[in-house]
Amino acid sequence: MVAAGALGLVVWPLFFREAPLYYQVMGMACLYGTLALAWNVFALTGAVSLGHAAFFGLGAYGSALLDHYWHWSPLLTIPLGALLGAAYGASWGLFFKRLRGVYLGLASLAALEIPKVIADNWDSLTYGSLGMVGLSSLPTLELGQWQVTLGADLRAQYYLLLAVMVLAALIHKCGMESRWGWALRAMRENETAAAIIGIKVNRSRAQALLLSSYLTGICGALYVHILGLIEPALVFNLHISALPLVMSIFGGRGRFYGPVLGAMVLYPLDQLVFQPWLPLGHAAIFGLVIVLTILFFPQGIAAWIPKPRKYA
Amino acid sequence: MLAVQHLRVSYQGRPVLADVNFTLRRHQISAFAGAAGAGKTTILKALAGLLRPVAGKILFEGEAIEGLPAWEVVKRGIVYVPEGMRIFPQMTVVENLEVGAYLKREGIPARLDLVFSIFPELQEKVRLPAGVLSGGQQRMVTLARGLMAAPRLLLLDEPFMGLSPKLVKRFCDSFRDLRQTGITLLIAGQYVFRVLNVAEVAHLVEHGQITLSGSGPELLRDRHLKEILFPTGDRPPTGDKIG
Amino acid sequence: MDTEAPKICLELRQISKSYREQQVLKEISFTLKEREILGIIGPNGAGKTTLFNIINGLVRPNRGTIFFQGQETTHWSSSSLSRMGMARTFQVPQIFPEMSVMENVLMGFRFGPEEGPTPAEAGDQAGELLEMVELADKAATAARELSLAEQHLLEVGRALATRPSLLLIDEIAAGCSPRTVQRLAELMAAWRNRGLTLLITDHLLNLTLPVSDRLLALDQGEIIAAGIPREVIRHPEVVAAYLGTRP
Repeated sequence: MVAAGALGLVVWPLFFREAPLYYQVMGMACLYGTLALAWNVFALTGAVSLGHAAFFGLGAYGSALLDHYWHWSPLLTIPLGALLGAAYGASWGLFFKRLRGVYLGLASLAALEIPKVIADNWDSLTYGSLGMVGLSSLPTLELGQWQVTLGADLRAQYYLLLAVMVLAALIHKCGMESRWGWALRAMRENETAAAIIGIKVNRSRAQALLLSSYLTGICGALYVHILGLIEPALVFNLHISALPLVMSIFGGRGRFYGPVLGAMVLYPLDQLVFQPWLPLGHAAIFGLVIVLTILFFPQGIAAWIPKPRKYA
Repeated sequence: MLAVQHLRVSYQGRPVLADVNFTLRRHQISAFAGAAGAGKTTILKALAGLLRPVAGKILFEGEAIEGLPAWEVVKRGIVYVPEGMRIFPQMTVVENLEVGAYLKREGIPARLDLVFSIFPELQEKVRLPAGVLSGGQQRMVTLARGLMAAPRLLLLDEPFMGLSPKLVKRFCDSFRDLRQTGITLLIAGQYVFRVLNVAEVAHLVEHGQITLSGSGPELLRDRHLKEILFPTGDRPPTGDKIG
Repeated sequence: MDTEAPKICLELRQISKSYREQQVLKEISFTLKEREILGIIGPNGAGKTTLFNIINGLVRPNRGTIFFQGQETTHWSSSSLSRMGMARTFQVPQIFPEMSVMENVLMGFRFGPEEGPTPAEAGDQAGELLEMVELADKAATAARELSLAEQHLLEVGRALATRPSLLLIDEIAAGCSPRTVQRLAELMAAWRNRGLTLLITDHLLNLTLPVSDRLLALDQGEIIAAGIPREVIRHPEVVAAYLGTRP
């Protein structure tokens, strides 16, 4: 069934030749899907982070600054900018080492404010709350005679974002099904038991956090290059922290594609249906979604998809 | 004082107790012996109002109490002390004990004295958060807290688990004193040999039914019970005998 | 193997630990030889579990040193110790609640010392382990649905899956039927014959006494008696503090 879904995602543009709105919406849905997957990689250790927008914003600013001051191609600035996010993630690993559960959630929320305030106030570097405009759009790729203008061609952009999401999904799958993934699950279920059977708990948690923060940074960087502009309130936004959580829970955290499902259903719904209905309050619908999910289908919608029987 | 008639309890559709009948007289010490999973805890939980029976009656002092919520049962004087260490870890020892007296607030100091006379070790730990006590000490707090509710009928589930032999002896000896203060005791468990020695009434529970009844010492002599409870030989495994 | 001078598996020197102003352990020293079964008895609150926690790396001692297999391991973490061959069970079983019984045991195989069995071998060995602790028919049950006794057995099965040389067993008899206790005693003797060293503590003397080669009695953080079980049980301080009556 998963394969069918994946195929569908690749093939549907063939039926909608000229539909730039759909491409844009689905493209962003893929970006959010990647974001949700990235967030969930850290959540696999049992930590619920409310501050992931910090990595998003830092990746975005890292890339934007490299672009603005050194005019490097986004192909470079995106992966490099995301390192800024990963560095912040590493610092969490250091300072939040002993925090668990609610305390970690609160600390992460507070940690979101620090880069935001810095970006807002370091005018000379980041132009403060005015932000920056004119960021390079995604570059044009050339392969022989083939030219793909990722910046302007929304369909190509969609495929790029889809590819990134698939990559993130594979990483997420690894985080659930590999030996490392089992270590994360063990930590999540019982940290003491994990330690006494020989799992390097702190190290595994730090690895998950680094991976998660880097991927989130990539999302941030991609985001601002697609939009072409950046400002603190846009990228260090609580909405960005909360959405991956909602999408992962709604989509289902028992399957590796759960967050993808959540993003693919909720984001287009939000953009195409809720926003026209309630232009002012549509974001509140996400709150409703979370409550309904937890009350009626806490395993997420992925639980409704029959799982292929595998002998454990 | 207590009459249980044709009690049937099911858990998630599975029958756990089938037609249980017994009576208890005031100030008696009674025991329910049986292997793990036989249904002893289920009987206690049904008495305590934690489980709703499918059928049957529970008459306490003439009043039918089956199906009443747990706090109503406690108000009438039936206090259930479950297995294990169910303490409130962040509260201090004395706070844990005071919480036990939630529904009966008069006479707390007297009850604290009683509790400390049975468990003097707790007195030195009174101000410590209960979570830092050792496992056995937490068990003591759980038992003491049950006493704090001024029970008329005290239901103890596997009370000696995790206690040193000396403590087991002391606690068991205190049963006679408790009886003087007007408490009726019902003790259930696998390791109830000491209690069987002093119990006026005892029952063997197997697969959700009472299969043997009599006085405690009578039951101790029964061969079938011995097979179930101490397969290692004639001597019951107590703390002060080397098997 | 040199049977004249058995190697020392574990050695504690002057281990002390205080919490706030209370001294929980006072200069505890003892050695444990390979293939020995040492029982630790003592009243509630004597410091037995704290001692286990210190040996096992979950708690740091204030003073003293620990040597495991000849290496100083005083400040090692429990996961490093596990990888070196020390396993442990808890008074409240620390199982992975959502994983099945089989998965819990497989985790032990996956993460013990480096040279583990291949996935295929692990499956077979896990099956054998489950047979040994009589949980084979519950292999697919989620661990949180087991009774307390079954969780204890699962925990010890998982601990064995990590291929330890030293196994610390903390109050495993709680909740177990007398028949299971007897089986545990038999199993411990069998494990020892296969080369395992055991450190156990339990209030159920029917388990501790027959199984232990030597006994250590603890009271208020100090060792009050040490020696063969028969003698330690008769020691006047042990009787007064722990047993309450003469045997």
